[in-house]
Amino acid sequence: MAQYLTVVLLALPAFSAVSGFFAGSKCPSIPRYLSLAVSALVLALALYLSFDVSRTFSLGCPWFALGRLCVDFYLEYNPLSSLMILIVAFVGFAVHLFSVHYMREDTAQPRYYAALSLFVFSMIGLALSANLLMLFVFWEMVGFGSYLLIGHYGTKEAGEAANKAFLVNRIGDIFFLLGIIFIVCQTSSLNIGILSQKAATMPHSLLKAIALLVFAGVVTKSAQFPGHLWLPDAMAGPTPISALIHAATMVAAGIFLLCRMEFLFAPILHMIGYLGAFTALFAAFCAFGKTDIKKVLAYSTISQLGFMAAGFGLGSSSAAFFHLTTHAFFKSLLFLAAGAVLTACHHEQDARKLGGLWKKMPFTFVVFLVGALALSGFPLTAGFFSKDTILLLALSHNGFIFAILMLSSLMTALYMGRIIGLTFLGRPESPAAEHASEGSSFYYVPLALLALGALVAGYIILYPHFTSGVFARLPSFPENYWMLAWSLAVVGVAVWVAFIYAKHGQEPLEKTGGLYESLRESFYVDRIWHKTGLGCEMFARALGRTDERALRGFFHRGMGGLFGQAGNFAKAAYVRLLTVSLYWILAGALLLVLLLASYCQ
Amino acid sequence: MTPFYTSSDPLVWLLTMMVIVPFFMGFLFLLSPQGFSRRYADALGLLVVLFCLCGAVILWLNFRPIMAGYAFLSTMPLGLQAIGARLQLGLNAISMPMFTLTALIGCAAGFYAYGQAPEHKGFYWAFLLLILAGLLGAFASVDIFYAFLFHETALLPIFLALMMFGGENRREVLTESGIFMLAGSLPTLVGITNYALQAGPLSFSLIDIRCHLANHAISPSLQMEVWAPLFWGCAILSGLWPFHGWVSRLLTQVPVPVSMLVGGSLKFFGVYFLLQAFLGSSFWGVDSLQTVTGVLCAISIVWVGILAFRQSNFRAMVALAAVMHMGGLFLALSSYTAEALSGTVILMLASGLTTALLLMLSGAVGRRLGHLEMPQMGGIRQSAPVLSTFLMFGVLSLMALPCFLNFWGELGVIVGAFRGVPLWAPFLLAGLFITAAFGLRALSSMLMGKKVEMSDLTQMEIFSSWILVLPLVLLGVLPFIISTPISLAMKTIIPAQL
Repeated sequence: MAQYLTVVLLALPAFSAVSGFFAGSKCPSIPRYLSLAVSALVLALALYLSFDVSRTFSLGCPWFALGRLCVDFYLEYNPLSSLMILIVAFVGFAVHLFSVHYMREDTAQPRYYAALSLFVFSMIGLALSANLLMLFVFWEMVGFGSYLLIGHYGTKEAGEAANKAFLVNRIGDIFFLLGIIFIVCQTSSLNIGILSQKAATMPHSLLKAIALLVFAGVVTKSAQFPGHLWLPDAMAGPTPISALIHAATMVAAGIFLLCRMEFLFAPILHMIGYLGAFTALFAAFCAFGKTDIKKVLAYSTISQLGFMAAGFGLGSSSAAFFHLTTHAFFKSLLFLAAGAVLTACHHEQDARKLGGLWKKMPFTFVVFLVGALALSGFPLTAGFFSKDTILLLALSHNGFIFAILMLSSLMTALYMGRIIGLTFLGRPESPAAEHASEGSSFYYVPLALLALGALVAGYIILYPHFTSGVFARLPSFPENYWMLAWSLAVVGVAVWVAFIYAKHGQEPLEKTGGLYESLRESFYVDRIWHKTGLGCEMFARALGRTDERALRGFFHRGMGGLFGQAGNFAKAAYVRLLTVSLYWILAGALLLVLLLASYCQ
Repeated sequence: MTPFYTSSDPLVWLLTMMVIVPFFMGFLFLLSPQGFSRRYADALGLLVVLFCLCGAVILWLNFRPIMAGYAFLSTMPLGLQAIGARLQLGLNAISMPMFTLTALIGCAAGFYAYGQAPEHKGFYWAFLLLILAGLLGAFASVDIFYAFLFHETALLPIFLALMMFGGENRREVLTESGIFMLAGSLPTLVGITNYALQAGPLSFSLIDIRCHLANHAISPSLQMEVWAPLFWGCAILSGLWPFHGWVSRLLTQVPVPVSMLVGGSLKFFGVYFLLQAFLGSSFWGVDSLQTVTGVLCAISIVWVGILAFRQSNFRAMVALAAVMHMGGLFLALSSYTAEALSGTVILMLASGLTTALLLMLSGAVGRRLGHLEMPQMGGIRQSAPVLSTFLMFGVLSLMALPCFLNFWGELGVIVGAFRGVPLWAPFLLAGLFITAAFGLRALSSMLMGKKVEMSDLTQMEIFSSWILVLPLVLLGVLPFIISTPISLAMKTIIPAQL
C-alpha cells in the first residue's frame, strides 16, 4: 500500500501541473485551488509516510534500453528521501498558501501555479530516484521549473535572469551528465545501490574523476563558488518562489545529491570542504554590500549552502543534511516575511528606502527576527544546533576551515543585523514605508508555521525514530561553552550593528570607497560572466563573417569563378584547337592525297 | 533473389497505397491546377495527408517483422529487373520511425498549408504531395536503387515550389541548392551501384544483399571504396560542414510546409540511407574515415551552433540548429556502437519533429508580424499564449530537455560516441550547451518584454502543432516504446560488431 502512495505522491503534483498548463486558460481560478489542495494532500501524505520511515521500499519498471544502456524507472523511498520530501512538502504548502494572496493580482496565475506544481513534482521525483539517470532527469526538470518561475513576470530583466539561471546550471549539468556517462561506460549500471557496492572496486583516479564531474553539477545547482552567479539574479522572480526554490528546495538538491551518493565523493572530500568554506565566507561578505533585501537573503543562502558543503567535506553528511533541514525553515520564513514587506511597501526592495516597519508591521517584524536569529545561530533556535554542529566538526577536523566558518558566522550576524536595522528599525525613509501596514491574514498562517519550524526544527535530532537514522551519524561533542558564548557574542554584535544602521539610516561603509564598491559589486565576479558573454557574441559575429566570406565566398564565387575560368580556358583552347586541327586535317588530307598519288604511280 | 511477392494482407496494400495515393493526387493537382477550387483543393489535400497519417499509425501499431526484420513486404517489377532493381516496399524498425515521421510532418504541413497561398493552390498542394510521396517511398523502399530514385523524385517539386512560392533570394538559393544536391547525389549513386555490384547477387534489395553478405563479406579495401563516395555524397546532401550553408538557406527560402518536410524528413535521408543500407557491411569503411568524420562533425557542431547563436532571424536560427544536428548524427554513425546507432534513429525522429514544429511556428509568427527578427519582437507570450507555449515546447525539445524524445536520442548518441569515438564525443556536450544558449536567447527575445500585439494560432495551426508535439512528449515520457524495437532491429542489421 505504502509503495503505491509514493506513486500518488508523485502523480498528484504532476496532475496539477498538467491541468494548470492546459485547462488554466478556460478557468483561471481552478489551478490556484487545485494546486493548493494538491500541496496540502502532498504534505499530508508525506507526513503519513514519514511516521514510519524505518520502512524502505522501492518499485519500478523498465524505462529505456539502448545497447548496454538500460535504465529503469525506479522509485526508492528511504529515510533520506522521506525527510527531503517532507521539507519540500512543508515549504511547498506554506508557499502555496502565501501565494494565494501575494499573486492575487497576477494575470498569469494558472501558469504560475502549474509551474509551482511542476517544480514540486520534480523535487519529489528527485528525492525518490533510485538511479542516477532518473535523478538527472528530475534534476533537469527542477531547473526547468525554476526557469519558468524566475521568468514568470515576463519582463526583459526576468527573462535574462531565467536564462542565466538555466545556462549556468546547464554547464554543471553537462559535467554531471559526463560523470554519468563515465559510470555507464565503466559499470553499465546506474542504480545507486549497485553503484555504492561497485565504487569500492573502481580505480581511485576514475572514481575521483567521476566524483569531480558529478560535483560540478552540485556546484551550479547548489550555488557554490563560482557556480553561484545565477542565484542573486534569480530574485527577479516572485518572492514566494525565492522562498521555495532559492532557499529551501532547489538549491538544496545539490546537497541532497551529495548525501545520497556519499560513497562517490570520498576522494574529493577535502576539496568540497575548502570550497564550501570559501563560498560561505565570500557570499557573507557579498551580502554585506547589498541593499536590496532579497539579494541580501540570496547571498545569505549561498553562504549557508557553503556551510552545508563544508560540513559534508568535513566528513559528515548528517551534519550537512541537518543544516539543510533547519535552513529550509528559517530561510523560507525570511523570504516570505520579506515578501510581506514588499507587498506592504509597493515592492520597494531597497532597504535604505524602508525603515521603521517594526511599528507598522509588528507580526512580520517578529517572524523576521525569529528567522534572523535562527540564521545567526542564536542559542536554542534551529540554526544554533545545525550550524554549531558544523562549527564543532570543523574545530575537531580542520582548524583553517573552522576559522573561515567562524568568520562567516560572524558576518552572517552582521548582515542580518544591518538589514533589520535598515528595514525595521529607525524611521521610515519613503512614503511607501510610511504608509505600510500588515498584509492579509493569508500571510499569518504560513509565516507562523515557518517561524515555529525555525524555532523547533533543531530538536528533530532528539527524535531519532522520526528521522530513522538520517541524523544517526551526527558527530557528538562534549559540551562546549565557548561556542555558546560565541553565538551569544555574535548576536550581540548583530544587535549593535542593527542599532547603528537604525540610527544613521544610511550606509556608513560608503565612506570606505573601494571596499564598499567591491562588496556591492560582489567582488566583480558577475562582470566576468557579462564580459564572457560579450566575448562570445563578438566571436560568433567574427565566425559568421568568416563563414560568409571564406566558405560561401569560396564555394559560391570561388568555385563558380574557378569553373567559369576553366570554361573560358576550355573554350579558348577548343577554338584554338579547332583552328590547329583544321590545319592538321588539311595537312593530313594533303598527305593522304600525296600517299595515294604515289601509290597509284 | 527474393521472389516477386504480393500479399492479400490489407496492411501490405495500405503501405503501397500510402506511396501511390499522394503521388497520384500530386500529379492530378499538377496536371489540372485550375481544375480545383481553393476549397476543394484544401479538402482533397487534407484528406490525402490525413490518410497518410492514419495509415502510418495503423502500420506502426501492427508492426510485426516477418522476414529479415521487415514487415508489410511487397514486390513489384517495374521493368528494371535486368539491372537487379525492383520496387520492393516494406518497413523495418529503422524505416518505420522515419516513415511515420514523414507522415506526421506531412500531415502537420498539410494542416498548416490549409488556407495558405490563395493563388495557385493546385500547384501548392501538388508540390507538397509529390514531396511527401517521394519521401514516403524513399523510406519504405527495401530496394536501395528505388529508395534513391524516390529521394531524387522528391527534389524536383522542391525546386518548383522554391521557384513559384519561394522567398526573396530564391534564384540564388535555387542555383546553389541545385549544384549541391547534384554534387551529393552523384557520388551517392556511384556508391550504390558499386555496392550492389560488389555485394554479389545482382540485386539492389537489402534483403538479398544482407542474405548474400552473411556468407560473403566484402573485403576491407572494397569496403573503403564503397564507403568513401557514399559518405561524401550523403554528407553533402545532409549539410555536414563545410556543406552546411546551402541547406540552411534552402530552409529559409522555400514555403513553410515544404521547409517542414525538407528540414524534418528529407534532410535525414543521407544518414538514414547510410545506417540502413551500408553501415552493417562497412565496418572497415567507416573505420577508414573515422578521423575525417570526427573532425568534420566536431567543426559542424561548434561552427554551425555558433552561427545559429549569432542569428537574429528566427527561421534562420532554426534552420541552422537543424543542420547542426547532422554533426551529432554522423559522429554517431562513425562511433559504430549499439547505443549510438539506435540513438541516431531516435534522434532523427525527435529532431525531425522539433525542426518541423519550429519551422511551422516561424511561419506562423512571420505571417502575423511580417518579419522574423527576434530583437524586434518580445512580449508575444501575452498576446499569443498558445503560440508561445508551442514555441517553448519546440525550443525545449531542441535543447534536449528530459521528457522530450530528443533527450533520449542525444543520450544514446553521446553514450555511444564516448564508447566509440571518445576523442570527439565532448563536442556533442558542447553542442548541448550552445543549443541551450541560442534557444534560451530566442525564447527570451520573443516571449519576454513589452507586449507585442498579434493574433494567436488558428485551429488548424494548433492541430498541426499537436501532431508534432504529442509524439515528442509521449515518446519522451515513455521512451521504451521506441527504444526496445530499434535496439532489437539494430542487432539484426549490425550483428557482428555489436
